[in-house]
Amino acid sequence: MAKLEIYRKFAIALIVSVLVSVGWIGYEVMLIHMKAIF
Amino acid sequence: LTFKCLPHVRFDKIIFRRPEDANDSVKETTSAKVQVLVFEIEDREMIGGSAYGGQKAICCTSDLAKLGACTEGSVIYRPSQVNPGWPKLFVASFDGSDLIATLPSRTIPITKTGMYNMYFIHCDPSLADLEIEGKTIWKNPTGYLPGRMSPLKNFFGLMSFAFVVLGIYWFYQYMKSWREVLPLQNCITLVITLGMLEMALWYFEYAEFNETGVRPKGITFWAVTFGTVKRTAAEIIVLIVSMGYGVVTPTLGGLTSKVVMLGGTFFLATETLELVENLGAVNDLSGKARLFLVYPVAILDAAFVIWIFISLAKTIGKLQVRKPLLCILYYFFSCSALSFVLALPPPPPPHTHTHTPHLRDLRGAGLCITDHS
Repeated sequence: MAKLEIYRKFAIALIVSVLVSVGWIGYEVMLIHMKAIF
Repeated sequence: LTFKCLPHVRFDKIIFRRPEDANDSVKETTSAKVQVLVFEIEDREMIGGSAYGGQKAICCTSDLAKLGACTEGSVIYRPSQVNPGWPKLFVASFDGSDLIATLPSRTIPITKTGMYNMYFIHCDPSLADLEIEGKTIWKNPTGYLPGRMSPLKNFFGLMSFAFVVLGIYWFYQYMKSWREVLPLQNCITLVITLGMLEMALWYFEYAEFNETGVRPKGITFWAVTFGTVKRTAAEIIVLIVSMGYGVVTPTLGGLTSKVVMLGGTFFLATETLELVENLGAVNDLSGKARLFLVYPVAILDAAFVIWIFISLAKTIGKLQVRKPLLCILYYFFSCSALSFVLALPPPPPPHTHTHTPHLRDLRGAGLCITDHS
């Protein structure tokens, strides 16, 4: 089914973007903790 | 004139005003003064002192003066070992019973890269209600943009270019299959157009700020508004596609009003946060004020993501009635992604907010393409 295939790709793209976002937030928080200014 | 091009810090017509009622009691004292200390962050250990290694004092108290370390009523600092001539101290004195003290306009050339700070300090209790008026001008080698913002100009220039490339690609695809275009795809065109405008506006905003030293409020307002409309539209599109709108079901039925309500609230919260954060602002917002505005946006954003994944799981389930095992797998997948979202760490402490462009901004446009393929 073509529709199912579209939704499968869509779901994977969403999951990847959420994971990348979470990773990015984690990276920023880590950066802040490593070089806290004042 | 050539001097203007070099990096510098400048005081411009800074006036200190002390309230009239306090004046009577201080008439007798010789002269109250306000001291301006300019220092590089690495020299922060050179400022302040303590007699017995206790809490550091910036002002020289009579106890410390007795030890002979400093003169009473002035700022304690030692010359820097790495930057000769720094920290720099300037003084504005109230003569006799004057209510006003003026700091002469002055330009401090900056020859070394660093993070420079300016403290206005008074050690006289009679100056507790002091008012300060005037401006300080901070010039970097590349322009008036503050150091933490200067990479943003190039970033938004690049993003504008990227959006133009994306726009051309989308337009090409759109033209190729213009007979079968869905209304949804028109919305995606709108999102890409808004994104292009937003990025261009941010670029011009920072270019103007860099050139003049003042944030152009009009451009900021439109950049923020276009960006917020774009983000809201992108989130709503992803949500209704996840619900199966236009692909599985022709209408959303009773959900429409809920979607509109969430979208509207998200728009208001984001617009408020971004306007408060950017409109005419040069400094970072103070901690609590910002947190108060950040939480609604974060919660609404999370609500969108959760709703998207729940709807997606339902839609895929509907499409896959005959394969229950895969359906369960998908459900599991979505749920684990959900738990990731729920376990998001709190936003970074506000005082160290770095203004890194949000990845979220890229997400809206990126997903639209995947949706199309």
